Amino acid sequence: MLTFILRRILLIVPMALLVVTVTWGLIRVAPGTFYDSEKKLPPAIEANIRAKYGLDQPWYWQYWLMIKNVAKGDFGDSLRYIGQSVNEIIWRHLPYSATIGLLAYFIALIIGVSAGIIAALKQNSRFDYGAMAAAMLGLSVPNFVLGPILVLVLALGLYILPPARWGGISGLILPVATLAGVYAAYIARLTRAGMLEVMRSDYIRTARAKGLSETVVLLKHGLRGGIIPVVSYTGPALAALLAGTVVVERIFSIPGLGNIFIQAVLNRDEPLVLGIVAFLSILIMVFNLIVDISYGFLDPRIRYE
Amino acid sequence: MDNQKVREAFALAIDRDDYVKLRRTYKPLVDFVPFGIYPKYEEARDKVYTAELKKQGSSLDEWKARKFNAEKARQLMTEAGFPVQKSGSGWSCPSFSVDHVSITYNTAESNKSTAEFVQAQWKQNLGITVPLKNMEFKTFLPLLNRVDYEGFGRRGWVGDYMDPYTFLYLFYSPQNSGATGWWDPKFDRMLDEANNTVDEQVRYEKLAAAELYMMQKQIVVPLGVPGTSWLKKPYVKGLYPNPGTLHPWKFVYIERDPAKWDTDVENLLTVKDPIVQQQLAAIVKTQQDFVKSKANEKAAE
Repeated sequence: MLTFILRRILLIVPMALLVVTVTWGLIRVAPGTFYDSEKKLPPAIEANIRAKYGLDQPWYWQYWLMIKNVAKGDFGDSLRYIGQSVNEIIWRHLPYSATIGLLAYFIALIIGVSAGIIAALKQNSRFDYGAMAAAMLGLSVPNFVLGPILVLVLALGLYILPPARWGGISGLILPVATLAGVYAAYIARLTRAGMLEVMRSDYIRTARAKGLSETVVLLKHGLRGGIIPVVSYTGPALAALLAGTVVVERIFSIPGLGNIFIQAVLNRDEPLVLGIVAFLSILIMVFNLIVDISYGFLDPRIRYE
Repeated sequence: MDNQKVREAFALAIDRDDYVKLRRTYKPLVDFVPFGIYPKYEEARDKVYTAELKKQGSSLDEWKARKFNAEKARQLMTEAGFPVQKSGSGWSCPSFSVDHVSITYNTAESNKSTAEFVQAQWKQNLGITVPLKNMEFKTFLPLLNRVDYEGFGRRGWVGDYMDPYTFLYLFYSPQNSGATGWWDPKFDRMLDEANNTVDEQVRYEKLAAAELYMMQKQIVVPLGVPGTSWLKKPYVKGLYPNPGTLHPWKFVYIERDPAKWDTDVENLLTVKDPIVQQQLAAIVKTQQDFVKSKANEKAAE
């Protein structure tokens, strides 16, 4: 178990560097530079700017310097927000994304898992069909459609909730609902499928034969096995939710990481893009690791060799 | 696009009054330096244009009528060798190939509606359907500066300072920021000469002559001047709308007393704020004191 975890942690480093390398290459290939503006720069000034940021060096040297700093966890200063370091910007914008992401995660988990369990227990009932139809709808409607529809109805039609912006609990409801929708739908379907399979297995029959109450059978024996597909799905999903969701943050003007990330790409703000990408990839890998470890606790059949 | 008559025809074939209805907060523009910012320059421009256009057998009214003239546009196209024919209820211009002409703009909803409007106008009035191209801003900028687009590129400009030169210098020097590839040493000389003139009004007149010279080449197709909407809380004082939307933040302050809040929005421009006036007077006084002390020093020597 320990060697497994150690090996996985060691793997995170080269993986993150690989992701950073690919991202760096993509930014370099993209047309336009961070200093482009509508005013044409005189060649001498452009040369000065390039020299200041080391862009006059050969590419392999620039790459080496970048990798060296990134390996130290130092992404340098943003090229757009002068005097602000990338780490500072990430930590400043993370709380907004994380608040919405965590709330959406737990809401999606509660709604999805409970709807999935009930649907599985009352298979082919009206509730099952209703819940699965709703889940199908939730899965099929992308959040860039769901968000504006919610805004249109609840904010601009009924004037109950603010249409956008950060501030107060009322401002959280719409973005969280938009985010949670797709995840809740997916989790509900996964839970239902997992539970249906597990509840028919032999060890559940054994548990019932032992005379255990239906609640214990369901929660202690059934859920542990039935929820495994959900766990493997929600690990990376939580990382993605925490690190900011571009579309929802855009729709609701939330100053989170996703919004900043898009802005950074549009500005060709190389250090900031690299910083956010590295942060996001490490987060996803860590959550994947946590998911893999938790399998062992959830399902006694899984062993780490 | 190298043919001036074609350029003029495309410029004339856009109904700017309709464009303004589409964009709502716009006003139609036929010149390069927008109106409403430099009233003294506008006076000088009207004077110079009247005289200059009269010499050319035209008039200021005719110049201002360039907001839209489909008839003239079709006539110019025909003169340029691309006859516009009547076809059904519209027009067609089969000899003009749009293979190397397009309207290129940076992706944005507002630019899209403008480009589609212009496209529709040219289709209706000239029978030419120019394709639209859009791209992300940072991809668009280098392309624009390299003059790599074909036909038309979208451009907007906001003045950096309160002088018409902030617009006119866009075509100054071969390495200009005009993004059209146009440069004319005569235009440079006209600007230089104007800037070497001390008298403000005479300088404006010379700049206006240069603007007319440039506009008559029709290197740009002006569309409109946008308005700026802004909201201000009544307790924020010392902040006034102005043509450059340049705000002297050092004069802006928060008023705690509700009785002194700005409620008279209509007269925000004309009402003077006593605190700002006081600060202004103090600044002017330091300047005057400085001038006085310099004069005294000189006298002592």
